[in-house]
Order: sequence, then C-alpha cells, then structure tokens
Amino acid sequence: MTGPANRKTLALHLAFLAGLAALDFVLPDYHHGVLARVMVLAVFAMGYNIAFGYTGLLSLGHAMFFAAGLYGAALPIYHLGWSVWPSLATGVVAGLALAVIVAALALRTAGVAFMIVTLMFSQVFHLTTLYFTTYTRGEEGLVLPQNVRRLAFPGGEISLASADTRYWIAFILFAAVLLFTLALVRSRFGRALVAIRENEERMRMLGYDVFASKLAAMAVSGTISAAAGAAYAVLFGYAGSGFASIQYSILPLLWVLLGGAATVLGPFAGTLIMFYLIDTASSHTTAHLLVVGVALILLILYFPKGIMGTIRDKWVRWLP
Amino acid sequence: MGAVAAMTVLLETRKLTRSFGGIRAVDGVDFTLEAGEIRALIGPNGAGKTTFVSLICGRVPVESGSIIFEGRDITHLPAHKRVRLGIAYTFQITSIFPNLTVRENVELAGMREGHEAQIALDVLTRVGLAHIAEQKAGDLAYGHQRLVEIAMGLALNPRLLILDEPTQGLSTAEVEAFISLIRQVAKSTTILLIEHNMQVVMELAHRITVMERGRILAEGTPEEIRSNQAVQQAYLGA
Amino acid sequence: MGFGPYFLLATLEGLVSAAVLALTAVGLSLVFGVMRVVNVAHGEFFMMGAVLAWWCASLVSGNPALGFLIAFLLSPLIVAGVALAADRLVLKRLHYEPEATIVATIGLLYIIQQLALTFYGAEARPVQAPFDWRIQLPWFGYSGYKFFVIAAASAILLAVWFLLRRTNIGLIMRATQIDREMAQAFAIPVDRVYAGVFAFGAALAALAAVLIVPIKQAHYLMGQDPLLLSFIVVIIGGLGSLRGTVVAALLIGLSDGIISMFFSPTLAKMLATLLVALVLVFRPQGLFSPGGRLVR
Repeated sequence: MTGPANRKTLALHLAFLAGLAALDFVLPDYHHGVLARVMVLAVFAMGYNIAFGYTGLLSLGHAMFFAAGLYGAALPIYHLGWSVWPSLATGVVAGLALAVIVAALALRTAGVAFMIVTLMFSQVFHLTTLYFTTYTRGEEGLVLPQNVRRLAFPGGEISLASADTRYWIAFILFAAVLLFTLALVRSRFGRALVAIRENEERMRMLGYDVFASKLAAMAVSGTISAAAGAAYAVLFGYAGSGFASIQYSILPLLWVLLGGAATVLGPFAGTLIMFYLIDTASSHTTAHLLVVGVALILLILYFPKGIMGTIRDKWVRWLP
Repeated sequence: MGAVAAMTVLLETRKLTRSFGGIRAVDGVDFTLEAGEIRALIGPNGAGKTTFVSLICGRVPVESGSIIFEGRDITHLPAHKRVRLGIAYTFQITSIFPNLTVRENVELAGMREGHEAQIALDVLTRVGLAHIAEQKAGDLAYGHQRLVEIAMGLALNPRLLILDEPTQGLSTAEVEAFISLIRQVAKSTTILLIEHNMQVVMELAHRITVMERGRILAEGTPEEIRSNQAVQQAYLGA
Repeated sequence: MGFGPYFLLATLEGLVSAAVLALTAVGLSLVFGVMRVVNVAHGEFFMMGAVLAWWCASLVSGNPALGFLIAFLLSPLIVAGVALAADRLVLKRLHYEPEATIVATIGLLYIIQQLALTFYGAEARPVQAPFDWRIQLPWFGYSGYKFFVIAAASAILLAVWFLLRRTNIGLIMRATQIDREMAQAFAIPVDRVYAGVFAFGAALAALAAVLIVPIKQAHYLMGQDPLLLSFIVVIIGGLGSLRGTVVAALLIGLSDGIISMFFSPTLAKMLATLLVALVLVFRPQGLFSPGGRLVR
C-alpha cells in the first residue's frame, strides 16, 4: 500500500479510537456499561475475523476459545485465590494452547468438514464444562466477587468494580487488538492469508506452507478470542458454561458478517448493532434470538459483505 | 549457457507412475531433463502430460517411482518445498488472484524473498505488463491474464520453469511475444513446456518429448520428431 | 431385577432410541447425500414435528388414538411444507453453496426454535400414546407402544429403502446424487429434486418425532440432541448408504441407551462427539461420498 493510503488508514483508525475514548465522558450510565461490554465482545469478534474474514476459515467452534480464556482466568481466581494479572495470563495461554491443538487436527479437513469438526470440538468443550460442575458450577457459573477483581500496579491497585475503570480497561484491550489487526492485515503474513483465502492451490505453488499459515492464523485468532474471554471474566465477574455453548460460536460469525468480514472496523460495528438489536428485542419478547436467525438469513442472502465491506466496495476503496 | 555447456542433469524421473481409478495416467516414465534446455512435452489429449508435470511439481502425489531434482530425491517432498527448491509451475487453466492488482499478484510470488516490490517491477517490465500493473487482474483480457500467470512463475526466479499450455487462447501477436520472452528467460532458466501449438514447439524447443497413453513414445530434436513415423501416426498426422 | 433383565431393559430402550434416531438420521443423510447440504436446522424440523403432534392431539382432546393418527399424517406434511419454503426462498437462491448454506440453516434453526418458543412456550408438554398396552415380560412390564415405535420406524425405513432402490423417483434421486451435471443433461429437473429431497428429509424427522413424543415430552429445545446424534450417525455410517446409516443408528442408539443407564449421559455425549470429530479428521475418505472423496 502506498504511503498516503497508509497514513489515511492510520489516521482514520486513531480518530475512531479517540472518538470511543471521548464517549467515556459523555455516555449515560446504561450505554456506558453496554459499550464496555461491546468492546470486549468486539475483541472476540476481531479474533474470529482473522480466521474467518481474512483467512476464509469458517469455524463454528470459536466459543471454546472464548470460554478457554473465560475459565482460564476465572478458575484460578475462584478456586486458587490468584490475583488478576497471572489469571489473565493463564486465560490467554489456555486459549493459545487449545487453538494450536484444535487447529492442528481440524486443519486436516476443509470446507464443510472443517465447520463440523470445529463445531464438534467446541461441543466437547461445552460438555466438559457441564460435566465438571464441581469446578465450574455448570450453567449457574462462577461469580467472581468484587473484592478480588483488582488490578495491581507498581503505584497501587485499581478496583475493577467501577464502571469507569471497566470502560478504560476494555478500551485499552480493544484499541490494542484493533491496532494489532491493522498491522497484521497490512503485513506480509496478513496479505498471504488473504491470498490463501482467494486461491489456496496457487499459494501452495508459490512456495507458501499453507498449513502452517492457517495454523498460525487460527492460533492468533484463538488467542485473541481467549483474551476477550479472560477480560470478560475479570471485568464482569462471571463465568458460566453458556459462554461455551454453540450460541457463542454463532454470535461472532453473525457480528463479523454484519459488520463486514475482512475489514478492521467491521467486527466492532457488527457487535454493537447486534447487541442493541437483541437488547431491544428482549424487552419485547423472550424469543429475542429470533433476531439472530433473521439477521443471519438476510445477511447471507442479500448483504454478504456486511456494512464495512459494502462501504469499502462502493465508496472507500482503501479501507482495510 | 551455450551449446557447449556441460550436460548436467537437472531433473530425472525413474519409473514414475500414477493411476486414477484404474487408469494409468502416467505409466512407469523414465525421463531426463538437462539444465539449460528448453524441452517441449507434446502428445494427444489424455496422454498424461499435465499429470506428469503435476507429479514433478508436487500437486499430485506419486504412486510409485521417483523424482530427482538437482541430485536430490524429491519424490515425497510437499509441493511448497519443491517450489522453494526452484521448481515453478504455471497452471493450464489460469489460476491468478482476480481481486488483486497485477502488481499485487506478482508481489505474492516475491514476498517470501523480501523485496517483492522490486522483483515485481522487474518481472512486469520484462513481461511487458508494467503499464497495467495497477489494474485488477480479473479485469484483464485473457491473454494478459496468461502473462500474469507467467510473470508469477518468473518472479519465483526458478531453476526449472514448467509451463502448461501457456499460449492457449493467445493471439498470433501474443504468441510471437511469448516466443521471444521465453528465449530470453531460457538464458537463465531451464524450461519444460507442454504445448499443442506446433509453431511454438518447433521454434523454441531444443528437444521434444512425445507422450502417449501415459508413456513416452519418442524423444529427440524437432527434426527427428518431425520425421518420426510412429509420432506422425499417433499425433502429428491427425 | 438381576443384571440380565436390566440389560434387556436397557437394550429395549436402546432399540427404541435407535429406531427413532435411524429415521431422523436417514433424513439428514439423504439431504447431504443428494444436495451436499448440511442442514443444521434438521433438529428443529424434528422439534416442529413433535410440537405439531401435540397440537394435533390437542385438537381432538378426547381421543388419543385419533389425535395420533392425525398427527402422523398432518405433522410431516406441514413440516415438509416449511422445509420446501425454506429451500425455495433461501437455499436455492444461495445456489446451495456449502458455507453460505450452513449459515442460512443456522439462521433457520434460530427462527424455527424461537417461533416455537413464542407460539408453543417454554414448557414441556406430554402427549398421550394412542393406546395403553402393557406387555408383561417375565421380569418386568414393558410399554406396548414402544414396541410399536420400533415396528413403525422399521416399516417406514423399509418403505424408504423401497422408494430409493425400486422406484423411478428413487432412481432420479440417486442419479442426482451421483452426478448432478449428468442428471441435468438427462433432463432431470435437479432443482425440483432438491426441493423434494429437502422436504422429504424434514418429513422423516417429523415422523420420527411424532413417534417419540408420547414417550418423551414436546419441548422447544428438544431438537438439539437429535441433531447431534444424527450427525454422529451420518458421519460414522456414511452417506449414500441407507444401510450404513441404519447400522450406525443401531450402534449409537443401543450404546447410548446402555451407557446412559450406567454412566453419565453427559460423559457419553462427550466421548461420542470427540470420537466422531476424530473420525472426520483422520478418516474422512469413504465417510463422505461413495466416491471416497470429501466434497468441499
């Protein structure tokens, strides 16, 4: 990409982040809390986007990576009395390890079989969280009390119980992953992933180790998803097996499709819109997941590029 | 490399065999390719030419037999590693990245080396596509797309360049340009060329290998092949 | 009760599960075999069949036998109609592209499930069996209806086999499965075959549900387990193979029944799912098409 386009892109994304940061000061309480949650879930979506959007790997099992981070962080805090920092680390590492193992197996298949295999591995993970209820308390879940959710720094400690702190921690994680995704996408590795998605056979015949590249993509994707999970446990104080269920594999797919697969800003847009759609629907009916079903079908039929994807296609060619 | 260069064997296959559902597409082929030559591989449709080169570049796994490249047994080496050793293959059916620009297409070939922008510029100039480098590859005319295919192969800086029916669908002028391009390229790269266009074969090839029904029917210089009875019967006479 | 009779009881229970599972799985297998479509909403067609059976029974609340008969005839028809609509409106427009189709059937799953929640509610409701007949075996009494389920499912499966192997319709379906383009060249209306197969597969699931609902209650989430189990059966039993599906269903149904009697059902499900995932990873050949090649 040429120099001016690089600068434009960076400027756009930094401006976006600045806007998000500014919102901390102006949003009313409810939406403030929503945005904190959305940012963390958007990190999950961005992680999924790397596998699905950029590399073309339609995984139906990413809930297991999110949940690996969630439980990887929550279990040491709840059962072993660990502090937050090392628990976040275990969450992230758990996600990385799981992603590498699962990908090494699942990438031996392709297309429909890959979708089914990832779905099944994720099911096994979900069933595991339900089986070991002594540790996970199954559907009911683990509640992490406020007094343990503190981040220790050289200067002192901050409590994660305050909404403001939560917003900033979520924002920092979100901004870090956003900028990382931007850098990844423009790097040689990122370009190779897109090319693999477009024409895998050709890439193989250009000397690329396609299996290794896909494995790396899944590893990065799973690790970011786990980071979101770990952050979620620590910020919102709850880890339940619902997060390991199929729904949390479908939701990132939906968020990314809606926002625009293979765009950097798309996952956030999709997560935000879907969150509010479901939120609004649930105040009218218990069957609010109907929105998910309708959205998926409408998107795949008429709008497969999503919001950012369509914007990029029609007006803003240089949007990454 | 001139006519008096030492004859080093670049590629050798021994009893190379591959079947598909009971049919021997490649049937115990012994083949030798010398460094620096332009070898044309001809034969009727279904003779096994594409399967043979696919076995060499690794797209299709070997059933039995062996492949030796620069003295090294590559029979079970995965395709991408063979590319890194110096074997480049351009597809019979154009296989490029239609949503990327011409330049981006060729840069992918050079990206593993590092300085892909420079490599792409050089290759595109050699091939004559520099003026449309920023166009989307999918928007190009068929002949230009074939050239992108070849450019990607060249950008790999291969020791062995395998071209699978490269002039198919090209206009006469494009075919002429192709012939002079390959003459240039052959100064630094060995070429194995599957072709149906006899003009191209006769003008370019140092030697010709004729395949039929999975086996080598005849091998020799263009003159020898032209006057070979069996070849005429099987193929050229038609 | 000694171990022997206990085991017999478990086996009988397993046979009932296997019978219903075989019927459901054959529906899924046909759809993937002929159309190359993975219908993630297949379990919801099953659930719809059960819910509609409850509704039919509630229409003639005095007479469970009549209610069952109406359900048996009407429920599969309605479910087939819904499936047909889904095929025409959505799947056909996606040109049955594998990844897009899966996403669409996931959407369909959510829609059907949530509509059931809206109109049927979140409770589980029982349906009365058409007849109350207790068979007295030497060691325990057993429900005659359960024997009926096994018999009925077997009869339906035989009818499906007959349809596939001995009729023109079956021939057309098999031809379309083997080579879609050739079928088109022979003027087979592939689109209509697809629509018919999709509807037929859904109807089979609904039939299975109608059979099982007097034993299990109708609940809006009851489609999840049959979906997972059908997947397992189809992957292990192989496609295009009615016999393979039935054998696998017997295996899974019996072992699920027996294992669940002695071990935790969660553990059983975990191991079964893991096993099948590994089968797909390491032995996909011969499990996904008669030609032995995994179709993308």
